[in-house]
Amino acid sequence: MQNRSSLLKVSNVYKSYAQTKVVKGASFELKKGEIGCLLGPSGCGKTTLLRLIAGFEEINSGEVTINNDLVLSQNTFVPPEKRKVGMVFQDYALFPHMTVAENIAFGLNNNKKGQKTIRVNHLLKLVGLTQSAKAYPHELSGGQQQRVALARALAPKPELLLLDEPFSNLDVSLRERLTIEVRDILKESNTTALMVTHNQFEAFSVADCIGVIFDGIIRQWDDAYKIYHQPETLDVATFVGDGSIIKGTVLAENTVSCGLGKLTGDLSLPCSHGCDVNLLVRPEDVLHDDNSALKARVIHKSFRGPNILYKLELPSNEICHALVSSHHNHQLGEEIGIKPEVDDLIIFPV
Amino acid sequence: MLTRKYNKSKGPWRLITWTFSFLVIIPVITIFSSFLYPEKEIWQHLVATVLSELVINTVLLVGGVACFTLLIGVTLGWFTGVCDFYGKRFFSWALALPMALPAYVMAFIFLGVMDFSGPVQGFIKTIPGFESTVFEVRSTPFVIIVIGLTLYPYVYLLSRASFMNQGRGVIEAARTLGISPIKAFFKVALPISRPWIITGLMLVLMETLADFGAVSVFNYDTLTTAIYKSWFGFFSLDAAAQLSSFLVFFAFAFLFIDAIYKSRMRYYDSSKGGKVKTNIKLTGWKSFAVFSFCTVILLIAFVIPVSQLILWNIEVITDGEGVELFDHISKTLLLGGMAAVVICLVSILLAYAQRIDGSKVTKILTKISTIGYALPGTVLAIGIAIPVIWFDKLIQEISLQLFAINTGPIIQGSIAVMLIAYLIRFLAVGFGAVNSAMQNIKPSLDDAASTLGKTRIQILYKIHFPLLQKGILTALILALVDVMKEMPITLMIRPFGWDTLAVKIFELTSEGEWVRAAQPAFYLVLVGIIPVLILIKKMEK
Repeated sequence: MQNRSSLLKVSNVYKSYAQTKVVKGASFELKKGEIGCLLGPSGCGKTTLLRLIAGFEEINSGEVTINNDLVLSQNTFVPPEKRKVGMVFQDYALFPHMTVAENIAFGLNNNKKGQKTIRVNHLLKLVGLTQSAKAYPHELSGGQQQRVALARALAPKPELLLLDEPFSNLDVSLRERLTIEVRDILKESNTTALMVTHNQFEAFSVADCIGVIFDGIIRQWDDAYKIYHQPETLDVATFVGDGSIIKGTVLAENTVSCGLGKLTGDLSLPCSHGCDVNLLVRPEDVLHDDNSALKARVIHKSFRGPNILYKLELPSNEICHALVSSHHNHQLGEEIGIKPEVDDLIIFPV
Repeated sequence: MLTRKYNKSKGPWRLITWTFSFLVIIPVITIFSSFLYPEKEIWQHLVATVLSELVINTVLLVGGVACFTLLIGVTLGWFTGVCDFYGKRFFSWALALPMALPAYVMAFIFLGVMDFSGPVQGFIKTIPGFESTVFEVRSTPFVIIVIGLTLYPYVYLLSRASFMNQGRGVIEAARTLGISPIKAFFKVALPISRPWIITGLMLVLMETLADFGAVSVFNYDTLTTAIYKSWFGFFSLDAAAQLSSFLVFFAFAFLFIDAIYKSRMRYYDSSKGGKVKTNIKLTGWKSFAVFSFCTVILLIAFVIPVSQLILWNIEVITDGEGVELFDHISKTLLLGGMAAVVICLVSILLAYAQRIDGSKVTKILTKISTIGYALPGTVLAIGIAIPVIWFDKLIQEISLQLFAINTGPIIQGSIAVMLIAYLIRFLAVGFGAVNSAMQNIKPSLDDAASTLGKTRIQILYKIHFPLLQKGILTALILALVDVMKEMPITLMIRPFGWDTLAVKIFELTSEGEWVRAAQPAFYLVLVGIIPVLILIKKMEK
């Protein structure tokens, strides 16, 4: 049975250009009011996926429905202007010959002029640009242009808003502020949105659920916590955060023996005794303890203000990372005591 | 400690820019001041008889060519810039080729083919029932079409580049906002491209306004032909100058519009950031329709006229009725070569003046120095002839008074005057090429070279020259070809015996000798293709 509350449904979509397969069987759903994010390195197919949802590409097989209306399949193609989808483009694509207000009003088809003005003013206020209504795009800063692009896309009240790397043209400090702002605006207007980014921190701070894509395949579709702490594949585990992978052997239902000693916790996969596995170790799982018998050699360190990220060589010659308070300033080559503290053992078959 | 004086005195550079901008101003002032000494009889005669007709003809011609080139140029620019259809890659460059045909060449080929005695009407007369049908092809619509076919590439190339630069970003944005593709073209793509389209259009209008050769072939009286006739018919330079002032007024209006839209380009440039490269795919009948449209334009604007030109050449040569052209070719090359070198040198000087003294005054003066392209050749000829004659008379007077020697005309009818006229008319072409190369030499390159221990001379020799080389070569070629094709200036102020190919074409076509005119025209088209090829190569980068 169709889930009534699912607004966007992508089922088993395949897309290839000439000989290259770009999207290989993508499936996911977004509920009404949810913010989703497609996260992946460049060239993984995430932008293609977004563009075919918008209506700029045809597909080889699969289905896309928006609000239970089939908009895209092998034989169906609803043009973008009929899909009620809004989009914020990477370069904003603002119309240079129109003012901010005219840009925002562009997609409004209300015949009553008063209503149009009310809507435009509402959006100007929402994105905090009431003062700049009469300005032209070239007179605005990058951050302001970005907000105009968002307001313009939101103006016709689209059922679904798509954002293509919306923050990539902004400098870092502005980016952090705007990610939070954009999330607030989307939530306030109860907009269902799908964003594409290669930046995991943007994904974490904006999205309710994240799909990690590699090589045209969505490897995991989950919330930020699970993507980080319970990655389902090795690719996801290494792409998200600074994890290290070390070899281990399962001893019992909840114990793995590895370069960090015997670790106890819940196994992410059911594994029998004696099974060889790859174990994910996050830097915050490795604590610094001068009294620990387990020593590791510092081979690289990067100072990050409140803490230092140490790259360590274990006695087993494997590499792992440790995030340590920056008061503990050790030299390269020094042997320091470490103590692993892991609740969930994230393991992958060898 | 030894400090090098880095910013040398800017005085000499200022002098250069002042000199060359003054050179352009002289003919303009001359033209307008002609109203101070009105030749009442001739002027009144003109007003009473033909003036209104001349102005109406000129306005009709310019307006018609504007509509024609806009229609053809923008649609072709859109199809080849943004759409995918069969043959797109080929047409993208091939549709620029008609630029190689001077309008006067196109004009006489058209008449040769289409006139009463030509093959087309001859064929129609063989059809039963049409034996006595006669089409008048020497009429306004056909002049418009002929000139429009050689000039539409300006609008085509600029609008195409602009449509391509927009990418599909803005169109796609419009579509996600619920606008259909056709509506998006008119509401978004076209307005954003407006500065480029208008810039192309203004070039077209200036060229149309300046056209002398094509309208002469058609016996279509405009202000330019009237200027020529009032000098060589009535022997009245002042009446010619007064007529010229109308043209200057129009030309400056076009320049002004052009400047307004050029200043907007920067803001309308949406090429920054991610560009979407996918195109609108045309399939089935749409693809075929666009393909046919492009084919028809290419056929009538280039393939058929050039084939006809070649056929006539073969005909003339096999009949042994060829014209001896060796002298014309050598004179054309010599004159073009000298002018090209002068234009190039001045371009280099001005480009350096702007680099070294980047003040606002210098920039404005450089702009003024290069506005000569807007002045029609006939106007320029008059605007230069008058001060030259005045100068000669002055010298003659002085030497008679002081030394009792009659010097006669000194600079009148000399090569130097022609070179100055060419310089004024075509400086923009050369300067554009040299200056764009100059702007690629960032000041930091000089700084980097000098921190690596190189002297000013070494920098000039090892950095500037290699980087400018290509721009200078382009400037030389473009100027050479433009001067070779130039007709009215050469016709009106050439020294005795300096007949170029263009002059020969004028002589032959005024006697209706289309077939023999094909001979000199063939060479001009051949060299005319070179700059188009340069342009195409640049376009493909």
